[in-house]
Amino acid sequence: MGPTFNEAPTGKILIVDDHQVVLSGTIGILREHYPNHELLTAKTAQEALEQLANHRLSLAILDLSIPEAYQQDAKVETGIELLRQVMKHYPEQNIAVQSTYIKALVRVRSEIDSHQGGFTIVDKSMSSQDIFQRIDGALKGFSHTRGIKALQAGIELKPEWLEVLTLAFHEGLQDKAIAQELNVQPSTIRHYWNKLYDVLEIDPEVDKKDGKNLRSLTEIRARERGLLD
Amino acid sequence: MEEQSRWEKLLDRLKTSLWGVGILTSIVGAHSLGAFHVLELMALDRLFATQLSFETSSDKAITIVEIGPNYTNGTEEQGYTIDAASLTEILDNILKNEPAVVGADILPYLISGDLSDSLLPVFQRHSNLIAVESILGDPIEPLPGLSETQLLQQVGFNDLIIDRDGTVRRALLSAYDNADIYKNSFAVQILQSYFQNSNFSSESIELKNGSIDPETMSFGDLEIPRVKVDYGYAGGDIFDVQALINYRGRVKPFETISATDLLASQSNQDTLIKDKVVIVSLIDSPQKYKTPLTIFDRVIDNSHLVSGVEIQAHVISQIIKAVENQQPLIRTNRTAQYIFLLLFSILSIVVSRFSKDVISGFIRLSIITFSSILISYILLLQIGLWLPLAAILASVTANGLIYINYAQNERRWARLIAQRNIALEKERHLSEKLAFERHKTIENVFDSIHNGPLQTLANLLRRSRDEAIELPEICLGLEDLNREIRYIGDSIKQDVTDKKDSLDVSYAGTKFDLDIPLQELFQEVYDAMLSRPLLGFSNLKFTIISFEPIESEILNVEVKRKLCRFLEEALGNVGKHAVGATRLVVTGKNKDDRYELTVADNGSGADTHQVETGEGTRIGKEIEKLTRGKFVRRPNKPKGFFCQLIFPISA
Repeated sequence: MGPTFNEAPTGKILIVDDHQVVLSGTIGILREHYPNHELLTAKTAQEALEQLANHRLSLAILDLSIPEAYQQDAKVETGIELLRQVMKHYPEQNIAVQSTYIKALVRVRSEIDSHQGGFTIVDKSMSSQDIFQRIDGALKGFSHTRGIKALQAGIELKPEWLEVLTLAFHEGLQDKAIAQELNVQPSTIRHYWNKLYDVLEIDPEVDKKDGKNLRSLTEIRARERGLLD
Repeated sequence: MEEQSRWEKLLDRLKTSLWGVGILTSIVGAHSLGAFHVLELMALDRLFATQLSFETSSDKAITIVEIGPNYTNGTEEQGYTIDAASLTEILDNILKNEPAVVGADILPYLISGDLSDSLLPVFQRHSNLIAVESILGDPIEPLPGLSETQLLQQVGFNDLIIDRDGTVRRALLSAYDNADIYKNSFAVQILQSYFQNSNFSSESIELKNGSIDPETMSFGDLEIPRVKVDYGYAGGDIFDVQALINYRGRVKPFETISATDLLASQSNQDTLIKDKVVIVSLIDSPQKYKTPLTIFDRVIDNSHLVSGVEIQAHVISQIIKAVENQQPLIRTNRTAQYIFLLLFSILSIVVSRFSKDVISGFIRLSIITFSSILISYILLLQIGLWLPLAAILASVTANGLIYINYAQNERRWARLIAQRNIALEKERHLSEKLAFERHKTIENVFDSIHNGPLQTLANLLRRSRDEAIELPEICLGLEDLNREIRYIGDSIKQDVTDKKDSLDVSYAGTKFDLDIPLQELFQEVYDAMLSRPLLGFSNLKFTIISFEPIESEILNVEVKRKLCRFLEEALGNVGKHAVGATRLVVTGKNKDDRYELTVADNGSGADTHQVETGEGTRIGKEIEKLTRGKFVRRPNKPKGFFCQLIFPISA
């Protein structure tokens, strides 16, 4: 879907969770902030895939520990597999992963980094305000995956992201030119920027509110962290 | 070794064929000593009987005239005699109907009355009238008053040779009498006269000595096969010219009519006498003889016993047919006998020896037996060749049974040996597999220790030497070490019970399922390694990290395990040596059917990297071999170290 800045949002949101309590809690938060959105639910991986096939969704909120079908045990492996399927078949789908065990996402890290839609990770133990912020970020197409980075790796980047930084701040190129240079779509460059905001710990919504220029902030942070010489 | 076994094989073949040779030698020996003679005669009788039952036509060339009570004197018990006048009347009547030849098979002592007026003039008038005498045992002189020429041409002996079982199989064709005068038999005299008068050939068929065998006789070109030692008869039985009688046709194939009936009917005289061989005898001669067929005939009465005159008719008939119709006379030949005996014996040995199982062996043996009988029969029927069937059957059966048994034993042995070999092969396979598993397990454990506790230990040692570590930190490090080593031990035990393929990651206190996609395993290994408190990681500012998906279906679990170990090792080297590194590159990329796995840093550890060529190289070499890929280690520019594995991902 890409980032969207519509002020009066409408659309459909899918919530996948096998626990009724969590489901109700999440639905409560969503109702409050998105009164115009249609809310769909699924309790199993199979159900979730059906909903995804039948509806064009603004956002999918996925739990990791879910059963494959009714009467089956909930397993993290099932949730990971569902996530793989969604990222594979709906590469631009905005996704928020809500889980108590986000470390399990480490191994699909590469796919998450390549995913073009918004992707945020929500720890179930966070406050409602934080949870909403992450969900909202995903809905707007942003990325927040810092929770699963390796301990001592510093900033983790894909090679392409570093190229975007170099082309923008060493060569002074605009997005369109960068897209041409890297031989990709301009929307991909926007996705790269979102990923860069994420790893440089820039929260677009918050920082914009504070009157900051996201690109300037990115350059400053990148130089601070040694990404740009 | 192979040469020797080939020799052994050959020797074994020779040994097994010795049995056949032994059997054959005994049978040939017994055959040549005449042991099979009685059996051979029985076999011949059987073949004759079979042959006879097929032939039904009567022999029209010969008429037998029996002189009954109307003309004879005497009784059945005492035997009949005939008056010379009556006999003359009958003979005159027959002779006026122009027979080819007339034979009077009536010994002189049975003729009474005055001969000179009646009977002798008939012999005078008709040179084709033949009388009998007897030369064996108590000789009976021919009719008194016959001239020298008549004695030479119109008298023949009617003696029969009876085999020891009472059967008449041979005909004595000519012989020396007690006065050492060479004489022809009654049948030969009739035949001689018959061929002189017959119109069968433009040139007359004369009796002479055989050209191939000068001791036998021949009619024109037809040489009569003489009974010799080859025929199985004992030497004492064989004298002068004897021939086997081919009892063709029915038991009594000849037209037989009483003298009364013949003389009373002109039509009988017309059809039964002209141009034929007519043999006259007294009715119910007391002497009756057995023929080969008699033995096998189930008829109990004496109807199949034949009279002497009928046997004479058979002898005459077979030679006439041999001359006129080329019907074969019975003969045999020693060479042919041995060739057939040998041929069938070898055939039976071969088919029995190489039969697939007992039943097929017996079926083949039966076929051989049957065909030997059939061939004997056909040869006898078509060319008159008499083969030693009994000896052949004995040899075929004995050899067949022995070699069927031998082949069966050999198959049983072969089966046992095959079973044993399969069992041995299984065992060998199993032990190889076990050895392989053992080797694999040791390697896994070694890799776990090398990439886990040994790295932790090396880090601790190094920091201690640099004195860059406080005691509490050392304690923490040792605790880590303790935990890691214990974990490896537990993990091995668990792997044995789980039988699941997993990758030990002792430093993270976990293990990864090797069934998940390879790029995810890489990501997990990377994440776990980067969580270790290693010097090389402590100053990292950023990491270029990306693992592209890889078609891991073509990679088996062991290759995946080794690839993870390789990545672990490469990252471990960064952690150990890349002191002060600020950036790290860890990427896996698909490039033209190949996968490039790269780990590069900008630390200062290049020198130590080069010095150390231990474990990193070992895993590198192993993975090169396992993936058929290429492993590169070199200093990075401007500083640091670069390590890359490129391996093909398509088969």
